[in-house]
Amino acid sequence: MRIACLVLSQFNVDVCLRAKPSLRGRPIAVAEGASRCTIACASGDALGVSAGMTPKQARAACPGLVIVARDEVAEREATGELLDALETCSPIVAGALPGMCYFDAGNLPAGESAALGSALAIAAALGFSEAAAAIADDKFTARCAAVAAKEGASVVPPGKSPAFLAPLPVTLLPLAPGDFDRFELLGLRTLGHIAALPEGPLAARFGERARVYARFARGEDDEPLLPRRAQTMHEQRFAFDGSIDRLEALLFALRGCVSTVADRLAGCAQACDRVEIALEPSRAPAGASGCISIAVALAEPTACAETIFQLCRIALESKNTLGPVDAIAVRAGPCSEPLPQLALFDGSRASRRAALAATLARLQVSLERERVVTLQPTPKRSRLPERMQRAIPIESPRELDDDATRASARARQRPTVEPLQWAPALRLLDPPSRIDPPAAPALEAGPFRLSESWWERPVERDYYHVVDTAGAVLLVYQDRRDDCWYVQGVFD
Amino acid sequence: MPASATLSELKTLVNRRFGTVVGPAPACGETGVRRSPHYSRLLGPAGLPKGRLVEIFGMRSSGKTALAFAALAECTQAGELGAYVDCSGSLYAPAAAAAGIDLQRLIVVRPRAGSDARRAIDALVRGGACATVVLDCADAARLLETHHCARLVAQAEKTGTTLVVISSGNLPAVASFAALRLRARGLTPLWQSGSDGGARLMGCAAAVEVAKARLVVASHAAEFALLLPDIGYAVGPPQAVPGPAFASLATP
Repeated sequence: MRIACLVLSQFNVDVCLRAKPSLRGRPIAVAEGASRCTIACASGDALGVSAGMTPKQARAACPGLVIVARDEVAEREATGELLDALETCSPIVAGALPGMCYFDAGNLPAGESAALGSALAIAAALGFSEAAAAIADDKFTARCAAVAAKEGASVVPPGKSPAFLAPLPVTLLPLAPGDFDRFELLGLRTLGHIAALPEGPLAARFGERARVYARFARGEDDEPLLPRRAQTMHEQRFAFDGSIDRLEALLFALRGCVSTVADRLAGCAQACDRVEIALEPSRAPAGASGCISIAVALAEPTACAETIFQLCRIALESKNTLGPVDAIAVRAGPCSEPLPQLALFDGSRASRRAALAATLARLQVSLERERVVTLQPTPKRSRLPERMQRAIPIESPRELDDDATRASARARQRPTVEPLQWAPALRLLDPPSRIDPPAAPALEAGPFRLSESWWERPVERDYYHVVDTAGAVLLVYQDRRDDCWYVQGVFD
Repeated sequence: MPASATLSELKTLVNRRFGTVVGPAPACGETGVRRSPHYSRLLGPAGLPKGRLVEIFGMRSSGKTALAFAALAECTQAGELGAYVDCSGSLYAPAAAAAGIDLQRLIVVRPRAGSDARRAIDALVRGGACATVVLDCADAARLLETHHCARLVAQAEKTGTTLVVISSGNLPAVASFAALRLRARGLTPLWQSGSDGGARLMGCAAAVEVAKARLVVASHAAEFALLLPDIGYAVGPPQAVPGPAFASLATP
C-alpha cells in the first residue's frame, strides 16, 4: 500500500492570513489558550519567535509582531476545503492533525510524482504557503518524509522505508513526556538506533510504548488509512408565492420544513444538536449573502420534530426586526452523539432530562448562553468577595442531571439525617456602591484587612460589619488606596 | 456574656433563646432528605406548598433571601433541581453554598432586563424540570403584573413547580396571587466578643411571620437564629479568611 502525506507547516498562520489578507507581509504569531497566553505558531519572518513563548516574550523578540488569536472554526473549515480539493487526487482522503492530510496513493493513473505535484498545487491555490508532500509505504514514513523535505515533494521507494528512516532523529516519534530525555541518556538519537535494538531490553525500559516506537522506527506502521466521513446536511426550503411579513405564515412554513428535516434525520438514525434557519429577504436574490441566518442550538441531540420546531419558533419570535421574506430554509447536520434512550414511562429519568433539555434550550434561545449558568465558589482563586465565585455556562443538561442522580443515591445511603441549618445570606453589590464614611459607633466589627494582587491590581481594604441607621447589616470596606468607603454586600 | 466565650457556648445560648437551632428534623422520615426545622415550625411538616406561588417579602436586610436560600437548599439536597433568576446580579455563590444549596443543581439565570426575566421565569416554570424556582426581584418594581402572575400560577400548578418570589412587598399582583406570603421582619445581628476587645459577627436573628396562607394554617410569627458557618468560604471575608491574607486587627 502506498500512502501520501501532505504537511502544511504554516497552517495556523495561513488560515489567519486567509481571513485577514491585510496582514500579509507582516510578522505574525498565532496565540492560543484561554487568554491568548501561548504562542502556537509563527510566520517565517517573525524572527526569534517560537512556539511556547508568551506574547510578551514574542513581542520582545520581534518588535512589530502581530499576534492573532487561533480560530479553530476557520481551521476546521480550511481543512474541509483542503480535503474536498484533495479528492481530485485520490478517492480516499483523511485529515489528521491541523495542517496534515493523508491520501491513498496506490494505483494512481498519473503516477506518484504527478499526484504529489497536484496536491502541492492544490495547497498553493488554497493559500497555504509552505507545503511538503511525500509518498511512502506507511503513514509514519510518509509523514517523516514530508516533514524532512520541509518544502516540495519526496518519494520513498517501496520497501526502502527502514533505510530512509534510519538517519532521522527520534523526535519524529510520538514520544511520551520524558522519553526523549531517556533516549538521550541511553545515547539513542536516531530512528536507526531504535530499529537496531532488540525489543526485549527496549520494552524493559519503555513498556508497551517500546513496541510502538520500534514498529515506527522500522517503517512498519500498520495503521490503515480511514476515509473521512462525508458530512450530510439535511435541508428543506420553502418558497412563498410572494413576500411574507406575518409570523404566522412563516411558522406554518417552518413547521413543514422542520418536520421534513426531522423525518430525514430519523430515517438515517441520526440526531442533530444544531439547526440553522435561513430567511431570504424580499430584496435579496435567492442564495445570496443577504440571507438572514438564525442558529438554534439544541440542548441535547434529538430528531424530534416538535422539540426542534418549538425551539425554532422561540428563536424566530425573539427576532423583532424581521422584514418581509420570500423563502425559508431549515438546515440540520447530524451530530456525532447517539440518540438518547427512549422514555418508556412519564416521569422517568429520560423524560426529566428531556424536560430539562427543553427548559435549557428555551432559556438559551431567549437569553444569551452566558446568562444561563451554574455558579461555583472559588475560594482559592481570590479572597475578594467579587472574585470568589465563577459563572460556568451550562453546555448540556447532563451536567445537572447526572449530578442529581448521584446526589439522590448519596442521600439514600446516608444513615442519619442532619437538619439544614440556616445562614444569613449575603447579597453582593457588584460593583460596590460608594458611601459616606460611617460614624465610628456604627462599625460594629472590624477592621479585617484584605491585601492581595500587589503584583498586578493592588487591593488594600479594611472590612467592617456595620449596622446602618435603618437597621440593615452591611459588609462595608474602606479602600486604603483612595480612603473612600464602599458597601460590598448586604446581609439579608 | 464573658469575653472568652467559645462559639459552642454562644450557640448554646442562642439555642436557649431562639429554640432549637440544630435539632431533630421533623417529617423527613426515611427519605434521607435534609429538612429545615424552621419551615416545619412555621408551616407544618409539609413545608412550602408545591405548585404554588410563594412570596417572601421584606425590606432591605430583613432575612428574606435567607428564607429563599433555605427553600432552595431543601430542594437541591433532596436531589431535585432548583433555579434562581437573579435580576439584580446579587447572588453570592459562597453564601448560597454556606446555606446548604448544592450549586451543581442550581440553574442561575442572570437576565439583562425585566422582559428577559419574565421570559426566563416562564420557561423555567413551564418546563417543569425544576422543583423550586426563585425569582429575585427585590430591587425591581413592577416586574410582574396581574396577567403575568395568572399565567405563571397556572403553569406552576400544572408542572408542580414551587415559584418563590423575593420582593420588597411592592408587587400587588404577586401578593394577590400568592398562596403563601412570608414577611421577613428584620435581622438582629449577634455579635461575639473577641479576646482582643473587638467584635465578630456570629450570625443574625431573623423574625418571620406568615402574612397570608391559603393552603396551610396561618399560624404565627417565629424567630430563628441564622448562624454564619465555620467553613472556609463562609459569608463575607472576615469569617471566610482565617489565613494570613486576612488578619484581624484591633478596632481603632
